[in-house]
Amino acid sequence: MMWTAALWNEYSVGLVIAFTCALTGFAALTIERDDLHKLLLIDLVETASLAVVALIGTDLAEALILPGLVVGIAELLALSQIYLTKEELQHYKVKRLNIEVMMISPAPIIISTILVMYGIILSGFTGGGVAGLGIVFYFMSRSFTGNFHVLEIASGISWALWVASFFVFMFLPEWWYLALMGAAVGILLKVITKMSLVGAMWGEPE
Amino acid sequence: MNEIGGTPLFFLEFGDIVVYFTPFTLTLFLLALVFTVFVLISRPERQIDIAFGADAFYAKVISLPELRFRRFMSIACGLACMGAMVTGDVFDFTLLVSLVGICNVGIVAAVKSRHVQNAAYQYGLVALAGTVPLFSAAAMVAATTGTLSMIELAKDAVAIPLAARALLVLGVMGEGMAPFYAAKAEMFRAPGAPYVIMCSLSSLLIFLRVAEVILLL
Amino acid sequence: MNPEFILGAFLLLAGTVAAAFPRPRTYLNRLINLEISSWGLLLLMLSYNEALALLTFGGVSALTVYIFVRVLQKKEAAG
Repeated sequence: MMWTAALWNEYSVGLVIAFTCALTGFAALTIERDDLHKLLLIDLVETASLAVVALIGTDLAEALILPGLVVGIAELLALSQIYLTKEELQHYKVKRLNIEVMMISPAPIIISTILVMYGIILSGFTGGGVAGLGIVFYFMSRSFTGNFHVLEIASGISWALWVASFFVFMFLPEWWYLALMGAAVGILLKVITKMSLVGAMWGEPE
Repeated sequence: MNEIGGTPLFFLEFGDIVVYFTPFTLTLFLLALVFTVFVLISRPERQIDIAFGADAFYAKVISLPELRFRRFMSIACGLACMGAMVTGDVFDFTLLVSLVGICNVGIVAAVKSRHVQNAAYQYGLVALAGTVPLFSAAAMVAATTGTLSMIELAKDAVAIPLAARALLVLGVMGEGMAPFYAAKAEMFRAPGAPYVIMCSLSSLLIFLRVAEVILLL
Repeated sequence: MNPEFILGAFLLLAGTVAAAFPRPRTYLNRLINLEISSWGLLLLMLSYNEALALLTFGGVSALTVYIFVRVLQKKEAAG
């Protein structure tokens, strides 16, 4: 019954391949002893699960992949930090790039400013990504010993703004333009602050 | 609607994501809510150990930053649990169960004992591995039936494949079931109830809910 | 069954086998082989025109590699 040709369409083939990948990953996971190798293999099986979600093929797949990615990366961040604490590796410093033209000249500031302005013009998710890239570049070339509290406050407020915009969309649809602008600004700020945290991780204060 | 949890009392609709309250889900929701309120207002215990060779004991005290972090994680776990108890959307359920898994790791991760950190790491690996069958099950339900809403799926016209149900149960077992592996039990050596008890309660509640979901769909 | 789907599925499978059983078994080798299966997944998403998911996964993959490289560097610095 399972071997009728009509049953094996694109979805079934894709599903078989994705599950084979997941099972291979899990098989390697059971043999593995070292903790860091296990973490890398967990990332592999996450990719296989995303493949199963992507096979849905409709717009719904995108709506399901994004939270799946967020959950995956949050867990990876948490587990890598626990690994570093467990093995007591936190004190070792990560080497920074020591390129003179980036450390001393004003070129990185100019490039970062151009990227941030372009990001603001683009607005929304793409704009936030470009602006965040500018800030990451700035932090990678210089050191950053500022406080994170302001960044966190900005991030939290922008998140609240985004959620409030969605509520306005749902319950007061006649104010849609306000909600649209609010959501775009909120997500722009949110992505900038998150990306800048990534950049700040390079130059940990000594 | 297949009335496994009792007659639905109230529907809260966010578009086609419906939050439904039957007597069963309402009970679980209230339990999670009450316990979250307990976590909010209580102070952690001081774990007391007997000093060997003398008639004395010493207490482990939790420092304030550690207390705040662990309390925050417990509240987040409680909120995720409350959401998972009443949601009427299969994907929301899997997402909230994954969140419960991460928060459980967070509750014990702030403790400085090496043994507890080791156990938290191993549990974290299994919880991450558990998200794979969870998301795969939700994706299979969406692809085969075209809907994720439990209200729609409960009508007998659509049937979800057995593999999807099995994967859902497997995922929840991987996320939460303490008797199935020792690492979660070892995590309880972390000092500071009621935060650690939230791990146990959340696993119990998500197991009860997944049983209802499987029988409903 | 367009070419992107077939190529994506093949890369996903090949990358998984390469990452699960790498020769030699070092951390860096495994990390690089993870990228092969990520590429396969990106091609799979391309075949279904899921543009937003594709871009987000590309960005998240970059972040993931960054996190792993940080852990690897700290482990190496410890000796």
